[in-house]
Amino acid sequence: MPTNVVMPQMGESIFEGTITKWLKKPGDQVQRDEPLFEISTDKVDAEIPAPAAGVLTEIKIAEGTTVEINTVVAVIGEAGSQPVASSGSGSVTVDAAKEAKATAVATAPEGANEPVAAPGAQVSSTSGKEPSPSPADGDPANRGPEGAPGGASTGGTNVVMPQMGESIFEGTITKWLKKVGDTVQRDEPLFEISTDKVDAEIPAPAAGVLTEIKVPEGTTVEINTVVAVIGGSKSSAPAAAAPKPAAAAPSAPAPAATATQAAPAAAGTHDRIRSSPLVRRIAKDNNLDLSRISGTGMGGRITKNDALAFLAQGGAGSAAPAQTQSQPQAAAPVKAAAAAAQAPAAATSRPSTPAAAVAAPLPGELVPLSRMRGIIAERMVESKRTSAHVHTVFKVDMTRIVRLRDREKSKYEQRNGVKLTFMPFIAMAAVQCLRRMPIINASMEGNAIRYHQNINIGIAVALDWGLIVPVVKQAEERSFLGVARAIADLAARARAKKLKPEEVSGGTFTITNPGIFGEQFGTPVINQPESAILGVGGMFKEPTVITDADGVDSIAIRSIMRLTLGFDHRIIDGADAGKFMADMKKTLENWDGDIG
Amino acid sequence: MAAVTYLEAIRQAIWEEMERDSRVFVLGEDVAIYGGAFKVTEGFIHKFGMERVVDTPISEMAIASAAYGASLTGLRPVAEFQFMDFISSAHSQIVQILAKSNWRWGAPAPLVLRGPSGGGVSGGPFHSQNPEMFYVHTPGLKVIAPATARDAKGLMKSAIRDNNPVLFFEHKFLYRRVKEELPQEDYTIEIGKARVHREGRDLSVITYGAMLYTAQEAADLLAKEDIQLEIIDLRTLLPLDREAIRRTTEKTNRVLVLHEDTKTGGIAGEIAAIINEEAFDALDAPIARIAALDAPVPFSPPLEKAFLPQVGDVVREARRLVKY
Amino acid sequence: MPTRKSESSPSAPEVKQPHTNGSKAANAPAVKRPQPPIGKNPWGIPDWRLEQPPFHIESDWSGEEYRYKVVGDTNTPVPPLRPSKYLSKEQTLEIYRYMIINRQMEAALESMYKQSKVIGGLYLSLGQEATSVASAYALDRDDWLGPMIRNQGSMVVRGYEPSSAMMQYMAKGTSPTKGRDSGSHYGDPKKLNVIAPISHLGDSIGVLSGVALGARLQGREIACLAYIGDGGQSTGPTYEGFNFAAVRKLGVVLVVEHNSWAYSTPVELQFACKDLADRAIGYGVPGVIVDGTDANQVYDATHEAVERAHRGEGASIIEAKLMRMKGHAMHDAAVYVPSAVKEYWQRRDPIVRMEQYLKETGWMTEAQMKEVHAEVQRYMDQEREQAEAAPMPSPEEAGTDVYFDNGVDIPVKYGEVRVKQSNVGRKLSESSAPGHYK
Ligand SMILES: Cc1ncc(C[n+]2csc(CCOP(=O)(O)OP(=O)(O)O)c2C)c(N)n1
Ligand SMILES: [Mg+2]
Repeated sequence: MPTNVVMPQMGESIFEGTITKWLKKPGDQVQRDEPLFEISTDKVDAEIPAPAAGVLTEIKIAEGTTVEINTVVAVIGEAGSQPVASSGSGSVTVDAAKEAKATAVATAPEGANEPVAAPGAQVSSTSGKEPSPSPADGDPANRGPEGAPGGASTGGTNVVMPQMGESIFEGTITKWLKKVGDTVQRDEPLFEISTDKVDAEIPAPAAGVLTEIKVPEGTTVEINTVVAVIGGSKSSAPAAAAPKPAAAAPSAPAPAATATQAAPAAAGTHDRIRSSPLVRRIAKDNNLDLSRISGTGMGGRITKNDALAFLAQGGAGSAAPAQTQSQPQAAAPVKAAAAAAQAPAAATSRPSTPAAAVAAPLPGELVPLSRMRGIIAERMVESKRTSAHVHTVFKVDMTRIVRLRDREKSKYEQRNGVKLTFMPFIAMAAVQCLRRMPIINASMEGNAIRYHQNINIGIAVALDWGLIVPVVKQAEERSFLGVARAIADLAARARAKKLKPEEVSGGTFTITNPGIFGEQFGTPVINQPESAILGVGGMFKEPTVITDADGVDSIAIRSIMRLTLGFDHRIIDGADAGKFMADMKKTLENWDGDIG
Repeated sequence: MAAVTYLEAIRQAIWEEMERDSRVFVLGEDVAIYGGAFKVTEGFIHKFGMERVVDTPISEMAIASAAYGASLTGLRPVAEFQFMDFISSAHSQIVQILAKSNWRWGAPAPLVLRGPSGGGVSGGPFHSQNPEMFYVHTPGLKVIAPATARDAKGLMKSAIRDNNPVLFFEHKFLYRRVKEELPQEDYTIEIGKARVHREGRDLSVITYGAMLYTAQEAADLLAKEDIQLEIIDLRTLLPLDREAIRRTTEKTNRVLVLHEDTKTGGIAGEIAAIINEEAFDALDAPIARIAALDAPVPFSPPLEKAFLPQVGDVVREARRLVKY
Repeated sequence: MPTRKSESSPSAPEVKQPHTNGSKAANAPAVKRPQPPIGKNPWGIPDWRLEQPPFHIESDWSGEEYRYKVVGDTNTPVPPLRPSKYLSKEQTLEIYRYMIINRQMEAALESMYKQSKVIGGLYLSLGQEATSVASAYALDRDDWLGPMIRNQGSMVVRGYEPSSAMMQYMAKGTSPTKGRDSGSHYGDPKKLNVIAPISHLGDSIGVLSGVALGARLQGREIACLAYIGDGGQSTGPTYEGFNFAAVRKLGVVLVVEHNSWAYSTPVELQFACKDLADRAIGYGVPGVIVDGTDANQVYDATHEAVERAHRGEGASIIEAKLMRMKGHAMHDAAVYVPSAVKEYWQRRDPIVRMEQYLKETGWMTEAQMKEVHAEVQRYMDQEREQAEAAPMPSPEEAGTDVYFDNGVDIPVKYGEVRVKQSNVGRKLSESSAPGHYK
């Protein structure tokens, strides 16, 4: 039965070794424990004894080659075996090895994967008819901690530099008490050493003839270095003092060939879609294309609910929800969530037909939310949930401003290149009133109220595809014309999709103007984290009672507009809101500002 | 049947076990005549005699070692630390001797080390600590921290009947604050099993000890916003109920871990790691942690309030996660 | 959490029972010999020694090198052993043999260490064999032992074969701890009643207090023999563990092995009192000083303390004065010990002194003694072979047995719980007793 010879582990931290010399060639007879090859590792150089007697049939790893521990380096056949020619992939005969070191390298990883416990697997095909049991000497469990080859009991026991203390890693041989050829008893003092911690006399590990002294007096070597050999036949080739440097250190094997081939095809150009591990799993299990789902989570993230809603409306790719039952594990969250949605109390009951409950949408085209729509939806609901909304409606007589505008508008446009609309009047009035009533221009932050230093007026702009609120920053510092220009500019750029991100954030108060469609008044939703929003109703000519300076009432046709203040009752009380709106009314009705 | 306090539940458990099994005995400082600093063993000496109710010198080291030594003779000691803060004085015994005993030399150590832990009572830095994680990090121990009277009794009985060293962290804030009716019959609660304290849909709060009640208050508030919290009471910290953690994550897809222990190295980190290992793709939001500040437990009430997690913290974080 | 159980959890492999001689060997009465008088130290602690080393060590930081110097005479003659009041000839010969086993076992370990067969550190007790062996010899089968690193001899007396220690030191899979713990850290709660020590000095003492408490609840007064070094006794756990025994009158016998050094620190830098037995006064227990190289003194003092424990009279302290003849461990050559001190103690080798005693009593001839050495050598070779051939542990054993199976019953050690319950049934305390039993 052939026996594999493996690269031994010469120390716990050692994982590879270099074969520095073969002491036998294919075809040679070897005895068990007879030196077979020499190795060099990071820790120690050692002569490795044959694990079994027989004929060296094959050398798999050439001199100068470094392989991982437990790599099969040679095979010993039964007496009478013939050396094999190159057999099996990567195996080389000794001749081949001399020329083709690189080839030997290529075999290393293969052998390295083979645990020593299954040596039979590495036996070359000609001789390996039946698996051979693990050779006792190859069993790492029979070793000392640092793999000192103490297992060999007859015919050549290595004497090693002992470790005299946990932190000690080298020792100096100060004196040999025996010379080569002397017979020694076990435990008989053999040599003296000196270490950083202690000087000691070292006893022989076995009885026999001292066949070789490898380390002369005065030399310092690492622990576990073989310093002498007791018994066995004398090595004809005394170990060179220094291990041969791995001369033709072969370049590392190049597994690059496979590494390059699998460039991820998916590294496409589309933007990263924000979702979650769960959403990605739902998408995978249901064959969903996430790019078709618009997210309602923070920053447009696709949430579980987004994905489930999409699914429920039949948005799956190829797989219908019912089919997911064939993958119970994968479908679990979908089912559980669906069940929770229909019957929160019975979340633990196993829903058997979740698909039926959600799979009967009314007929009609299903169009996924646009990104903007999704954000609006999220923001509006969030605002309603956050603020205690209250609305107050004031009737404002705009006749004075209407007349001013009618009078000025063409000249104004010529002069300034911007249309004179009602918005700057309202915005300028708001700026003045907000200055006088800072609580309306404030935000709630945790347990505090932040009174904003600046008045940044958001102007809601209706678009064909939604709604956006660009902000006139620091409106308190602007003139009427400045505000008018800013509003016109922002609205134009909003429609042209040319707004910058910083232009749609940072508002402290918002004005929305749905009145252009003829509405009386609305109840706008606060634009968080602001605390108030002004809704501008339509302008109507209405019969109005007016009282003159003398207190005489009469009915007149006046231009009337309704302004609504939506405010957050958490920080703004009705009285403050009322005061503010009364101020607005007064300011607008008695407009005397410069319009530039 | 009248409702029974958390403390009384513990007392009943030990009492009944001592009645049932003569191998069970108690030892600790002031446990005999005085009945223990919190009166957990009050009356025991009269029922069981001074041999089974042992007053010890003031030495947590000696208490832990003596309990262990007695367990080596087959007895089942229940040792009291007057405050769990003092467990540090027995640390070496617990982690070096008790925890490794069966593994090292096949010497099982069936014993319970119990006592009051936790804050919220202005006990200051040496009478308010939650030292459980030192021991959760010690293989060979079991670590229990019940939140309800029913669990306290059932788990104490299991701890006494367990063949391993069990550390039982009672919460002193709960001693006389929580009450409930207990089953009439002898019952135990399995060590290593968490409990769904409240079913919910939107977010799981995984917690233990007194924080269970913080979670519950937050859940009540959030219910008004139609945010339904599921609350998991771990009850046992070692071994952790990985399955329950996985299950609730699969169900709500959002997890907040809440504990009174300090944040760094608290069990929330371990739970987050378990979810990461076992239920990563069930997550629809990042795992959040709410825990005490990384500081010693302060003495003055406003400081301690700032130190301990509050209902508002849970509400705020829950809202954020649900929106995420 | 793994409650997996491997085939058998670690504990002593099949070992022989602890010997049952010692204190119960009434069938072989001691040979009555005249007892030299017993002295007392300045605090009234009995001092059984026949000599007191007339020297001490001082720190000498004046010269070129820091060193310790001897002050006083180290050349005084070696006294004979104090005749034992209790030991029969057979018992004495058994102790003698155990001491030789102790020594040869450690000699073998030393060789194996230098051949890289031992894993980790090796701690030897050369010169301390009389203390380990004779004290452990005084225990009964039901008593307990809490050894320290240097008490390999006590373990053998208790019933462990030397191969157990060897396999421990070689980290073999068949060692008492299956390779899980190192060197002397093994024990057996079931048969041999040996606490597996841990490294932390003094931590076993309280454990032994608990063992004695547990036995008492089962109606038994037992002796629990704990060792502590002159260095280790400085720890808090030593005080806390022993005080518990003292207060509760538990049968802990604390043998303080005053071997003059704790690693490189001499006793002069370890404690301020002269004799550690003085501490007995503070604990409120009897204390005694003995010569730790005199097996007779060690046995007799331990025997009396053990008997006291068996009578339920409580704990005792025995301070054994001796010398650690080697370094702390193999890596330490103990160059800090003045050579005159080493030589003084070399002349007081406990085995040589015992051999002198055996000659004087006529209990053994030199040839017979040689034969004991040779016989032990043959035994030790076998033990060594067996230990060396033993397999290393399999990796799966690393994480098994962390918990003990709840399905397995843990028997009480001494039969049943038997409390006197003298006060049971007396009136319940005034204050609120739990409702369900009021
Ligand atoms: C608590 C603790 N601290 C430090 C050590 C490290 N240590 C091990 S043995 C030793 C010296 C002990 O001296 P002594 O108690 O006199 O015993 P001896 O070695 O002389 O037998 C020290 C410092 C330890 N094992 N435990
Ligand atoms: Mg010492």
